[in-house]
Amino acid sequence: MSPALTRRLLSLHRWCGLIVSLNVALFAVTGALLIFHEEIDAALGAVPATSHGTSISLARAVEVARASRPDHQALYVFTDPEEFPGAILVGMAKGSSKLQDSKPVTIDAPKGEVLEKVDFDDSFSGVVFRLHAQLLMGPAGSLLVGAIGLALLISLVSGAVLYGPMMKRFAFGMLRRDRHVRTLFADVHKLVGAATFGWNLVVVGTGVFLSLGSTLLQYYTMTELAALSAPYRGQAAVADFATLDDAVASAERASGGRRWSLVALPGSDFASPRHYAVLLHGHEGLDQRMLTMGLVDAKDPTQVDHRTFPWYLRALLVSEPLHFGDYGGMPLKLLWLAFTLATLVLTASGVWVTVATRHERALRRRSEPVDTSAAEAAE
Amino acid sequence: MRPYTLPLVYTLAAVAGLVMALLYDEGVGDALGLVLVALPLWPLLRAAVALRRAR
Repeated sequence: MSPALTRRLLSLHRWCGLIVSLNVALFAVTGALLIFHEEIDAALGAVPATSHGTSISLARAVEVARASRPDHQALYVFTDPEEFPGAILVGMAKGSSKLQDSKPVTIDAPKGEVLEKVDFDDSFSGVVFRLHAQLLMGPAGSLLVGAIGLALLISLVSGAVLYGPMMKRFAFGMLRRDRHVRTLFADVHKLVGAATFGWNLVVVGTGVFLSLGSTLLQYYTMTELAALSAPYRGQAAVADFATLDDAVASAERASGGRRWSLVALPGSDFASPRHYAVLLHGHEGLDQRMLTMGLVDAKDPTQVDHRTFPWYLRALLVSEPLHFGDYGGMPLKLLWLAFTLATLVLTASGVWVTVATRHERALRRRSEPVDTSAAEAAE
Repeated sequence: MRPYTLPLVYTLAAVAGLVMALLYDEGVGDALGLVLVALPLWPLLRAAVALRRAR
C-alpha cells in the first residue's frame, strides 16, 4: 500500500470514527439496555399481568378492542406466549390503515378485558428502543441511524485495512506501557478493534440493514402485496372478522404445522381488502425467525395461499436476532454485553488517540522556529 | 506470523459462532457457537489482566 493511500485511509478512518463517536456511545449504552429488556420490563412491571385460564377467541378479542376504541380501526392481532403470556394484542389506528401508525390494545385473554395500564410505547424499554433505532425522530430517524451506521462501517473496514501495514513489525496484542500514554491507547485501540471486528461487522452491518426495515416493508406492500390485492381494489374491506380463528387454523394447517404470531386484518396495508395475512413461524433455530405468510380468504377461510417472503424481507428477519443478540439465552446476552463494553473502549480510545495526535501536532507546530528569511529578503 | 492471521481467526470465529448459535437452539451446535463467539474476548481479557497487574 502506498504511503499516500495509507494517509488517505487513516484520515477517512479517523474522521468517520470521530463524527459518529458520540452516537456509537449512545447506541452502545441503549443497545446494552435493550439486550436485557425482558428482565428490565419484568422488574419495572411493564409486562401485562394476565390471569390464567382458557383464552377467548381472536374474533372476540378484536370485538373487545373495537368496543374500547370505537373511533379506531383494528389493523392486526398479535400474540407472543413467551414474552406476553395470556395476552392478545390488537393493533388499533385512527384514520390510517398503516400497521406502523397503530398502537396495541392489550387484552387479558382468559378474562376478555382490556388492560388499560399497559403502554408498550411509553414503557422504559419502548423509549430506549426508539432512541436506539430512531433517535426519537420517527421514521426519518431510522434513515439517520442507518447513515451513522454506514459511517461506522466505513471506519471499521478502513481500520481493518490499515491494521496490516501498521502492525507489520509488531506482535498481536502488544501493549507498550513504557512509552507515551497515547501509544498505549493506540495499542489498546488496535487490539480491541482487531479482536471485536467480526462481532462489530455483524452487528453494525445488520443494524444498517434494519434501519431500512420500514422502507423495505413499504416497498413490499407497494409491489408484491399490491399485486396480490389488485383484483379486490375498490372493494370495501371485510369488516366482520368472525372467520378469524378459522383462518388462523387453516393457515397453520397449510403451512405444515407452523405457528401463527401476527394476523394483518383486511383493510390494513399488509393485507388485501378480502384477505387475512397470517404470519407464521417455525419451531426452532433459524426457522423460528423465518416467517412465512398465509393469505386466507376472509369469506371462505378454507382458501389459503401459503407463500414465502422475498429475499430482502428474509434478510431483514435474520438481521434482527443477529443485531440484538436475543437468541441464545443469558450466556449470549452476557457475551453481547462484553462486546458492547469493548466497543465503548474502542470508541473512547480512538477518540483519545485522534485528539491527542492533533493536539501534539499543534504544539509541535507552535514550538517550531519561524523562518523569517523570506521576509527579511523582501525588505 | 503475519499481522492479519490472528485477527482473521478471531473474526471468522465470531461470525461462525453467531451463525451457529442462530442455527442451533441447544446441544453441541449451540454450545460450540457460544464458545466461538467468546473466543475473541480471550486476548482482551489477557490484556486487561496484564494492564491491571502492571498498575
